Amino acid sequence: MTSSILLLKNYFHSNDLLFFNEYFHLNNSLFYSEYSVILIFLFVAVLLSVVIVALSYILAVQNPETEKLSTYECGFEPYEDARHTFDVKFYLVAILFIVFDIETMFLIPWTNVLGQLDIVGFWSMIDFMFELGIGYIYIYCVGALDIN
Amino acid sequence: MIILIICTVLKILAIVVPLLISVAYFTIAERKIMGIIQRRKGPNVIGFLGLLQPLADGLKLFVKETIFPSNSNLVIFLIAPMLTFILSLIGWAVLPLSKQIVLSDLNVGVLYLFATSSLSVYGIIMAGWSSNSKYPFLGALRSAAQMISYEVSIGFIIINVCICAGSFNLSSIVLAQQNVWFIVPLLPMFIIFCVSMLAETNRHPFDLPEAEAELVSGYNVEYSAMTFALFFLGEYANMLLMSAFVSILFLGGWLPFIDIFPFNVFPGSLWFSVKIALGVVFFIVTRATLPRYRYDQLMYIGWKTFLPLSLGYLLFSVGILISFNWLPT
Repeated sequence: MTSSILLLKNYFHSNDLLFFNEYFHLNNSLFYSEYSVILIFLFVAVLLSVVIVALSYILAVQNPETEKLSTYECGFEPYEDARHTFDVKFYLVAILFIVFDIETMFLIPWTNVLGQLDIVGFWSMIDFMFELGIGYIYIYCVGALDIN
Repeated sequence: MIILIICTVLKILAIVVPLLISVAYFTIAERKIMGIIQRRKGPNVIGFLGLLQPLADGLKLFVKETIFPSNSNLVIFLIAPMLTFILSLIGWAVLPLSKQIVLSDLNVGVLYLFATSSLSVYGIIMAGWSSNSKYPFLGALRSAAQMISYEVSIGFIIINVCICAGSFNLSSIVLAQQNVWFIVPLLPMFIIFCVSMLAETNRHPFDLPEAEAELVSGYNVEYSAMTFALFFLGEYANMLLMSAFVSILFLGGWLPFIDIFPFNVFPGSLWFSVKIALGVVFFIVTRATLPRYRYDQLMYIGWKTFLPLSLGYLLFSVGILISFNWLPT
């Protein structure tokens, strides 16, 4: 990894070094100070959960038997596999969910720059929401949101 | 470099260990308050007034036998509780506990919290599918149905707050509420967020994935010992995280009620913990008072009430901000 970065550095002209550093976030202390903490936090959390489960597994008395390991089914023997075909009634709502989730995704960057946009930036997003509102009224009236 | 990493790990432990202790005392607060509501005593034997009860419960779960059902998918079965626990912990990396105390002051902190809390549904779905049993499977399906019904309106509410604050940074969102908390101009959004918060953490009245009267215990039927305890810890840590999130978004985070003499001598982290404790009491009291919803009723609430209301309120507040030229720059 380090050698390949050095090779790339030689490949660029010295004038381009600044650009190079910016491009690969080499001098970007923000990146190191903020996201690396989250990475370490992730490692600590993974380690903690693995240690908790492993310690309990090692220290407690394990005495497995067939009845204990069988699937729980309110008293009687499990008579069928749990993974047969199942009618998911809300699949249409799930598809509509994707549409509206993408709408929120479009709105999110707009919220941050709204103060710097002119009035056209405001009205174009209002238009977008208006059209999605018409779509929402349509799916409401057609009955796509009714599950039964 | 090594010293830096060790310091960071110590800082992280300084957040995680108090978090786990507060989860333990959350459980006993829940049992005590529910006892008061139902006119009984609650746990009062172990320790002074039963204060050592959560430690005894944890010890009991620790020495139990870990069961891996014979026809489950072992790897996914083991990863699922760990995922729930990890996701509920790493959300705390970006929360500003006070003006100075913050582990990592991300510029996109709101999006990070939104993403980690949305991912926690995968822990439940993985647990339900890998158990290869009927009740966990139904619980996982209900969890998916629940997720698609509240997520969109939560997104609109967060957009609403971000427009009023003009930033995704959690500290700037708190500092934007110095004059007036966002609960005052955005009161309907606050109420919707509290209800969606109950659905997000699988709490009563929306505890459909683990409805014990219908699905015995839902997605965690097959779990025992510490694998079950990880689900339990993850769920309660998630509730604390959502209480902290709602107090940052609407209740002014670490800011005191009024910025005058007797109130502003207390440290900000104290005010923040008082607000988190209010959220915790809200969770417990709703659990003790409300009956459970059906999952199609939850979808109707999410899609036919919350979604148009939050979208309309977003248009309203943006219109007000634009026409009075109040937008933060």
